[in-house]
Amino acid sequence: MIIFDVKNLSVYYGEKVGIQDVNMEIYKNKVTAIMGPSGCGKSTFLRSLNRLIELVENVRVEGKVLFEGKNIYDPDVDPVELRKRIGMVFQHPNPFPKSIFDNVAFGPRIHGVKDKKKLEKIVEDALRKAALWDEVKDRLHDSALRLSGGQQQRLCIARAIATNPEVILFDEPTASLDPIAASKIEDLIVDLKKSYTVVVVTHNIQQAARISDYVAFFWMGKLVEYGKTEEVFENPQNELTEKYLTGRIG
Amino acid sequence: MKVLEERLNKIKEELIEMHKISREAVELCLDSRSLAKVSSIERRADVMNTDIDDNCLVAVALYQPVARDLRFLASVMRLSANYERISDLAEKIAKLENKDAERLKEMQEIVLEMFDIVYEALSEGKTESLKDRLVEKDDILDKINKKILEENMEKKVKEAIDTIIAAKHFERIGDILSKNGSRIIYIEEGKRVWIK
Repeated sequence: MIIFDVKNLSVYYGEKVGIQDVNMEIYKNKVTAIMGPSGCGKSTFLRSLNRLIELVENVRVEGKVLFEGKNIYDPDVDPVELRKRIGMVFQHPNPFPKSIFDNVAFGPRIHGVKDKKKLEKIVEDALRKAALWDEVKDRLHDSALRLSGGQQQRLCIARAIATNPEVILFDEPTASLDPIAASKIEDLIVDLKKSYTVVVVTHNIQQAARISDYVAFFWMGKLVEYGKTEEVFENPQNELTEKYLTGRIG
Repeated sequence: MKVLEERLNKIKEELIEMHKISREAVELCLDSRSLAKVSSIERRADVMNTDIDDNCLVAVALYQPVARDLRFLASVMRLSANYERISDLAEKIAKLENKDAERLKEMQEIVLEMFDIVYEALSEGKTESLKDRLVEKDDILDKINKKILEENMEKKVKEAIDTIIAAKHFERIGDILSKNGSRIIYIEEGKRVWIK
C-alpha cells in the first residue's frame, strides 16, 4: 500500500537545485532507504517528506507530496500537526538537556497530554519500542545527556515514537555511532516497520542492503533508480547505480 | 574500489587459466600417450578450483560486493567447479582403451570450438549470440552421441562400450560448457538464461 506518492518534486535553495523532478511511491510498513553520495539531495528529499525543508532560508518547493492521498504542501496543512504524524530522527543524537522521562514525554505534552499516568504509559511504551526500556527503567529521571551515544540515539527514536507517528524519517541515524550501537539501531529500524513506515537516508551502502525493502539511488539531485532492494543490489538497471554500488564512482 | 578490482582481476585471470588447462585436457584426452599429462592437469584443476573458491569467499567477506561484482564472484565459484569437472571427464576419456573412433574426434573438435566460444565471452565479456552459438554446437554433439550409440550396437562389446562412454563424456563436457556460457551471460547482463 502506498503511503507517500511523490509527484514531480523539485526543491531549490535560491537558484541552486537541491532535487529535481522526483517521482516516487513509498510503501506503508516498509523500510525505504535513500542512498547516494554527499550532496546528491537525499537529505533534501527526506526533509521534504515532513516539510522540515521549509525551515531552510530561501527554499522553494515545487511539485506534490501526497501523504495518504493529501498533498502536504496544500495551504490548509498544518506543518506542526504533519510532523506529529511524520517523525524524524537525525544523524547526531540530540536529546534535550532534560531527564530521560521528560525527553520522551516532551512531544505528548506539547500535544496536550497532561495526565501523569497516561504520560507514564506513553513513555514506557515508547522506550520499549525503542529497545531502551530495560536499560533505563530504573533511572528515568536521570539526565538524558548521561546516556551513551547509542542510547541517546535510541532515546531520540523513543521521542519520535511517543507522538504516535505513522512514519519515521531517519537521516543517517548511525553515522556517529560505533558498530555495535549502529547494529542495535539497524535491528530496531527493521523491527519498527511492523508498526511504522520507515524512510532512512544513508551513505552506507551495506546498511541500505541490510535493512531496507526498497532502495532509491540519488545522483546530483535526481532519482536515478528505485526498486526492491534485492533486485537493485543484484542487478541494477542503471549504469550509474552499478558504478556507485561497486565503488567506481562516488 | 581499487583493491577489490585488483582482486577481481586476479580471480578472473585464475579462471581463464582454469579454462585453458581444461581445454588442454580435452585436446589431449584422445591421445593414448597423453594420459599422464591429462591426469596431471586434472590434479592441478582440483587445486586451482579450491584456490579460486577461497579467493572468492575472501573477496565476499572483506568487501561485501554487490551488483556485477557479486554476480561475478558467485558465478566464478560455479564456473571454476565446472572446469574442474571437465578436467575430470577428460581424464576419464584418456583412461579408456578404445577411443579411436572418427566420431569421437568429431565430438572433440566441436567441444574445442565450444571452448573457444566461451573463452571469447569470458575474456572480453562479449555475450552477443553466445547462447545461439553454444546451442548450435551442443545440438551437434547430441546428434553425434546418438549416432555413436546406434552404430556401436553391432560392434564387439568392449570397444563399443568405451566409445559410447567417451561419447557420453564429450556430450557432458558440451553441456557443462553451455552452462558456463549461461553463467557468463548472467555476469555480464544480469539475465538468467538456460542453454539446453
